[in-house]
Amino acid sequence: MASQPIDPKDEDLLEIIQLDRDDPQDAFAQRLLAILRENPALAKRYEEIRRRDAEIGNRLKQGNKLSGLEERILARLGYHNEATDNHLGSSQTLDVAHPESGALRSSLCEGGASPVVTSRVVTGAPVPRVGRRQWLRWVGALATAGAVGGLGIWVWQRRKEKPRISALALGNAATELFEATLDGFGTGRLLGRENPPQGYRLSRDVQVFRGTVITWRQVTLADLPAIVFDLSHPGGEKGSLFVIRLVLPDLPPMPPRRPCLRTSRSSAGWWQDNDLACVLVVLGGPRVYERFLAPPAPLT
Amino acid sequence: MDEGSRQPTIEELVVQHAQTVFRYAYRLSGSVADAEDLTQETFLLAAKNIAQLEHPARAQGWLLAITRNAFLRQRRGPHVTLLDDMAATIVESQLDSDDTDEQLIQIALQSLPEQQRVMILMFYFEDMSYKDIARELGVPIGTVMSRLARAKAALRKKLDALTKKVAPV
Repeated sequence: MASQPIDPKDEDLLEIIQLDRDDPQDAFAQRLLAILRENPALAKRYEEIRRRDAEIGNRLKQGNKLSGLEERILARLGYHNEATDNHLGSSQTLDVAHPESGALRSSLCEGGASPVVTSRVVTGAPVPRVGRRQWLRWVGALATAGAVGGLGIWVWQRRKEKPRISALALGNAATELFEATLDGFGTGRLLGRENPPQGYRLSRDVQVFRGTVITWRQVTLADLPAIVFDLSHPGGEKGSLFVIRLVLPDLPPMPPRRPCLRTSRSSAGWWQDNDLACVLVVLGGPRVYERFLAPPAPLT
Repeated sequence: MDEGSRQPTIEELVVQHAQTVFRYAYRLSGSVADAEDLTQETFLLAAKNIAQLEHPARAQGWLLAITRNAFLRQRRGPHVTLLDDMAATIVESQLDSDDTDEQLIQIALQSLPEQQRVMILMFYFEDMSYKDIARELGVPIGTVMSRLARAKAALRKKLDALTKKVAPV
């Protein structure tokens, strides 16, 4: 009985059907049950297969923890949230983040500081006579509110004038674009034969060797027009310098000697070069990144 | 609303599931660097589409499915790194008796063709039934049954051979 040949499809059932997990009403599960009842040797084999399944499943799910993984993911998510927030009004962001506390805050403000006043308003008691000090307080509060409001409007207007993007967001966007468009690397116009549009230039902070091939392309980076200079060093190292006509207060005035951002494929760093925001992304690790930076000028 | 039915925030998902997603990505890709990239991509996609998480209790399964789809999408792309069997040969040649179970199973897994590897991981890691696998991959049930059965047998055979190879004489 045990050596009876088994239909190859039934053989598959031993591997595929998990009687402890699959739907017992399933037609294949029913068929397997019938086979196992008829053939104790197969029932034993099935048990062995399920034992190995449990063992292999556990081994596959085990593994060492990768330290710092959560922090790195959250850092990248922070950039994305920030980029999303730029498309929303600040009031919307506040409402979504803390709707209850926002409402509570405003009702407390409207109600005034004194619980006595609140209770009087609620019970409909007559409003108390307003003294001189009270008037002064109100005038002071109004003046402060006006000043704060004016400042708010000024900040809001300035925010509308300038694109709100952080250095990190810009660096991330450039790195993503670099990795996503590697096929287009070096396919632009040869620098020297054709110059980039006025106002854009290759930063002097980038190292150029004899034999370095430089081409440039027009791209859109974080919804802004940009020029990317693709540099191929004689050793075969590749790097792109993204240049945007933008002044960002959180960009350092000179290129960092170590990359600010690393992925499995590339390294990136960013800085402000006068009126240009620069992001250098290279294919490779920190050592390649450093080879794309011109040696720092002497301090004196 | 109880804790189980509350929509988790993306930060909570990262804290709870990042390591599991990373391990799954590592099993799929066979490289720590690729696995981290894949894990980051998974959570970026999850953050963008968190409204699609219908059952918060099934968040892990949802994230693993995103990881798998991202991996398959990448592999369909223009750049392919090392051929699977070449990678397995290289790793196998570096095998020694100090290798842990965890490494052996990774080598055995890497020796399988990508199609089989994905099915194996859906079965063992995602705890999916043959019907779920067929639905997810858009493959007929009969095809999944025969391919998965072959893949499981091949994995066990490879694992047994590797275990024998590193066992002390």
